[in-house]
Amino acid sequence: MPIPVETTVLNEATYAVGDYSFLPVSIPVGYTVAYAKLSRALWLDPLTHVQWDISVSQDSGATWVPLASGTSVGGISIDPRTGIPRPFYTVGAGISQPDNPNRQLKGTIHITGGPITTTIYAGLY
Amino acid sequence: MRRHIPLILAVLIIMPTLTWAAIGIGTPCTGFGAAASSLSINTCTANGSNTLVIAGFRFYTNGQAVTAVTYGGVTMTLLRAEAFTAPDFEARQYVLINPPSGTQTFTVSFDGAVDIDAIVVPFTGVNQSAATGTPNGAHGGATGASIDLASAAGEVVLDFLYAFDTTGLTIGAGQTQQASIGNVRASTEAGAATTTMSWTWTNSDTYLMLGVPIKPAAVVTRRRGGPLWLD
Repeated sequence: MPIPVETTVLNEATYAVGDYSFLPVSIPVGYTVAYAKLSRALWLDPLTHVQWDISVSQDSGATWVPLASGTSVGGISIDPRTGIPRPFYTVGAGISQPDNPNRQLKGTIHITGGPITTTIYAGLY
Repeated sequence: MRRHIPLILAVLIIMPTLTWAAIGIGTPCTGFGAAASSLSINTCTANGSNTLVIAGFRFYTNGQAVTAVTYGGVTMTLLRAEAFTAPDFEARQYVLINPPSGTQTFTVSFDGAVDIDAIVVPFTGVNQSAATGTPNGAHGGATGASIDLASAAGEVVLDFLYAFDTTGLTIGAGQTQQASIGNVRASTEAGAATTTMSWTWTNSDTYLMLGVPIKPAAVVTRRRGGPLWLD
């Protein structure tokens, strides 16, 4: 099993209402799960809303297919296991063709309801 | 006087024979979310004839409820749920008979943010009028989990396991793991009168487990019959 990797794809900033995409990230051979996430620590307004859409390419970015999407709202979200706020909003999915060296991941967040301050990451395991 | 003359006619007739289709297992799709109000997995497929998809997922909740579960835009039917409290987490198993073919999106929505792991397993060769048997489930805290399902030869039993601590996780004898995401696993086993699905792990901790038998489609074949006797 490959070592989990995670990288910052959009630095911490205040993002106004709109769409923000991160550039394609190569997926090395062996990884079977891809995800994108954003920090919640400074995303405190429950009236703000984020939708994640992540896509995967099997041919070095020539074509893309949707992989997963999800929605979440701002504010404190308590993890019932720990009783503390969840630090991230994450969406991920299993990815096929683990032996394919030409896979890539990209994603877009759609922000509505107001600006949010966050950092955006992409990861593999 | 009536004469009964046995007459053997070498008439070949067509006689129907009922057999059962072999249940095929397709490629599952998997996904997860943290602090998410909805999760959609866009890479699910169910191609072939007499298809069925079964979705299993677990979620942590602070009172949030499931508001919709769809596959290809079609609402799925709840088979069974297992819930655990303090902390609150729940596993659910949903079914859709004859789902839309091709690549489809599986979506589960909540009325608030949860953590979720989900697996969708497609099948072919499934009885479309009586697709599943009686589901079963269990939850607790231990170093293993086991459920019995009333099934039969020719059927396939599917189970979903959520284990809080997967250290040393070992699948039960006769089972084949079909998918894995986070702390959730899906496996299948050939059906028998009583099919036991089981898992073990190292450290005693909480788990949720669900299972359901899947019934094969009836296949009517025709063969040449024997001689026909006529009075």
